[in-house]
Amino acid sequence: MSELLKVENLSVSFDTPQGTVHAVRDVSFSLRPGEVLAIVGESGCGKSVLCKSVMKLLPGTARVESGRIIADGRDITHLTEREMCRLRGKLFSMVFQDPMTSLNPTLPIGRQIEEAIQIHEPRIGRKALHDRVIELMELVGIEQAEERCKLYPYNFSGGMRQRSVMAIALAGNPKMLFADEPTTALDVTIQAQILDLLREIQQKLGTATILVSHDLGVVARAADRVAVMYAGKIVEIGTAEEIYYDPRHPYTWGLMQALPALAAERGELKAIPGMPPTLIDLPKGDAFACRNAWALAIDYEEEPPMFRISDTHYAATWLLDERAPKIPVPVGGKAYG
Amino acid sequence: MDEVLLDVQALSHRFRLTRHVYIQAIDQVSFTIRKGEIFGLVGESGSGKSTVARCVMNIYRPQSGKIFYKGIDVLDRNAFSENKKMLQTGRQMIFQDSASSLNQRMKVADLITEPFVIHRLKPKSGSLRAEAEAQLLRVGMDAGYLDRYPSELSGGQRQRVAIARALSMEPELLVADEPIASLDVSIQAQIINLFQQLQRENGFSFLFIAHDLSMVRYLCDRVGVMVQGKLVEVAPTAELFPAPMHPYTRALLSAIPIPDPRRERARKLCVFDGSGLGPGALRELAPGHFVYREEAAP
Repeated sequence: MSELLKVENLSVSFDTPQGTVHAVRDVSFSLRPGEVLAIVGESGCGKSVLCKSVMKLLPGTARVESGRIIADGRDITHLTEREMCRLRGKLFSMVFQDPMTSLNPTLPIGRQIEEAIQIHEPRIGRKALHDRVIELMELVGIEQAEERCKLYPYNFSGGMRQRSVMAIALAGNPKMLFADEPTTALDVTIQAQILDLLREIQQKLGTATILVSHDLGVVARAADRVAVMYAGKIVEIGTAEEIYYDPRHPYTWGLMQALPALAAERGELKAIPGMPPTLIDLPKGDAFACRNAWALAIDYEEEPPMFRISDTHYAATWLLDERAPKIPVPVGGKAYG
Repeated sequence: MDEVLLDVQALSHRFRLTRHVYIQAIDQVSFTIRKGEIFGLVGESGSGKSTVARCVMNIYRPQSGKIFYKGIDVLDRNAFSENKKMLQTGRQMIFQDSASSLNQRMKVADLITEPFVIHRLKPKSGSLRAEAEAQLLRVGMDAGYLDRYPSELSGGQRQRVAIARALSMEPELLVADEPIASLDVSIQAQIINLFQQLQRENGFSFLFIAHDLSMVRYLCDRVGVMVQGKLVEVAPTAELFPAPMHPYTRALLSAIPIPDPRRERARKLCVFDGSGLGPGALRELAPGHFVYREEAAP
C-alpha cells in the first residue's frame, strides 16, 4: 500500500532566549491510508510539535531545520500559508486536547459545524448544509442531533464537546486526522468511548489517524501501530502487538513498568529514575542513557541508529547491536500474551 | 490498624449557583479511615470527591453531617478551637496543581518550613534551614534545591516539595487531592512509590483522591466510589476490583484501559444507565463491602 503521509528526517527547532530548543530531531515515519498510528511519549518530548509541524501550525519562532514532509504524494515542506490553507481540513485536520478552548463559546454547536462545511463547500445550499451537519453529528455519536445542534458548548458535557470538535474536524472529509491527546481532559469512562469513536470513524470513513498520547495504557485500544518518542526522537516504532508484547527499547520497558495496571499484577511499580532532558543542551550520545539502567558505554558516546527487528518494528538502542550483551526483556512477552 | 482515625457521618454539602438554585455537591456521605490505612476515593469529575476532601480539612463548612477526627468533632467550633493546633498540624493536604498551591515568590526552603513559622514550632534539626534540608532529603531531593523558586522546578519536583511541606508536620492524616493527575506517567510512578515508602516509614493514614483507577488499585487498601455526590460503594481494594456490585462501579471498572492490545480490543464497555441512584443508603452486603441500595418508596 502506498503511503499517505511520509515524514523524512524531519528536524524542528525553536529559538528561545535560553537557546535553541531541538524539539523534533531527525524523525522519519510514514502513515498508510486508514491506519491509526499512536505517538506516545512524556510531555515535552516533541509529540505535539511533530503533529503541528506537519500541519504547519507552529509559531513563527519555530524553524524546520531539515527533512521533507510528503502528504498524499506531494511535497508540502515548503508550501506557503495560502497553499496550506487549502489542504487543512481537506487533506488533514486536527483535534486538540481541550475541547472547551477549541470551540467558540458564543456560537451554537450546529453553527460551528456549518462554518467548517462552508469553508470547504462555499456554494452549498441551506438544506444540504443542515443535512450535512446532522449527518456529521450522528457520525460522531451525538444523539438527537436535530435539537442539539442549536445548543451551545456550555450545554454540552466534556465528552459531547470532544465529539463536536471531531465533527468539525471531519467536516471536510479529511484523509488524515491528528488527535492531540483527545482524551486527556476527559473521565475514564468517556475516554474509552472517544477512543472507540476514533476507531469507528477510521473504519467507516477510512480516515488515517495519528493519535498522540502520553499513556501507553490508553492507546492499546485504538492503535494499529505505535511510535514511542523520547527527547524529540522516535526511539521505537512497530505494530501495537510488537510494541506491547515484544518491546525492545529500554525507554519502552520503563514506560510499561510505570503503568499501574501491569504493576498491580506484578505487585511493584517501577519508575523511570530522573527526568526527561531539556531539549536545549542535549547530552552527548543517547539522550536516554542517564536514565537507562541498561546503558552501555557507547550510549554516552554515540547516538544509536534505528535497528531493524522486523519489517515493521524498529528501535534505536545499542542493545540491539550484535556486540551488545544479551539482556532478558523485563516486560512484555508471554506474560501478557 | 483497627483504630478509627477519621469518621465521616452523613456529610452533605451544597453550593449556591443562583439565588434559588443549589447544586448538591455531596449527599449523605459516610465513611471511616482507620489508622495507617490508605483510603482511595474515586469517581468522575464533578462527583464531589474534592468537596469531601475540603470538608474533611475544614476548608468548607458542610451543610450537614459530622466529621470526627480522633473522636473530636471538627465541625464544632468549641471543640475545634480547643484542639486547634493538633487538628491543624495533624491533618495535612496536598493539592493537584503544585504550580498554583506553592507560593511562586517563596524559595523551596521557606516553603517547606513555613508550617513551623505559622505554628511557632521548633524544628527538630535545630534551625529551619537544616529542617528544610532534612525534609527535602526524605522526598528524594538534595540541598541544592533549597534556594530555588517553584518556577525553576519540574512538575514532579514541585509535587515533591508539596509533599515535603505536608510531611514536615508529621501528620497523622494526609489528604491528597489528585496529587499525580498533572504528572507524566514515569513521574507518577516515582511519586506513588514515594508515597508508599513514606507511608510505610511514618504510618500516617492517607485519603487518596484520584480518577486513575489502576493507580488506586495499586496503592490503596480500601476504596470508596462516588458518583453525583453519593458514595455508592466502599470495599477493600482486593474485593472491589474483582467483584464490583453497584452498576456505576461496574461501568467505571470496565473502562480501565488495559495495556495489552488484544485484551483491550476485546474488552466490552459497560455503560452506566443512571440506575441505582435513587433515595437509599449504604448496605453491608459482604463483610466490609458496602453498596448503595435504593430503598423502595413506602
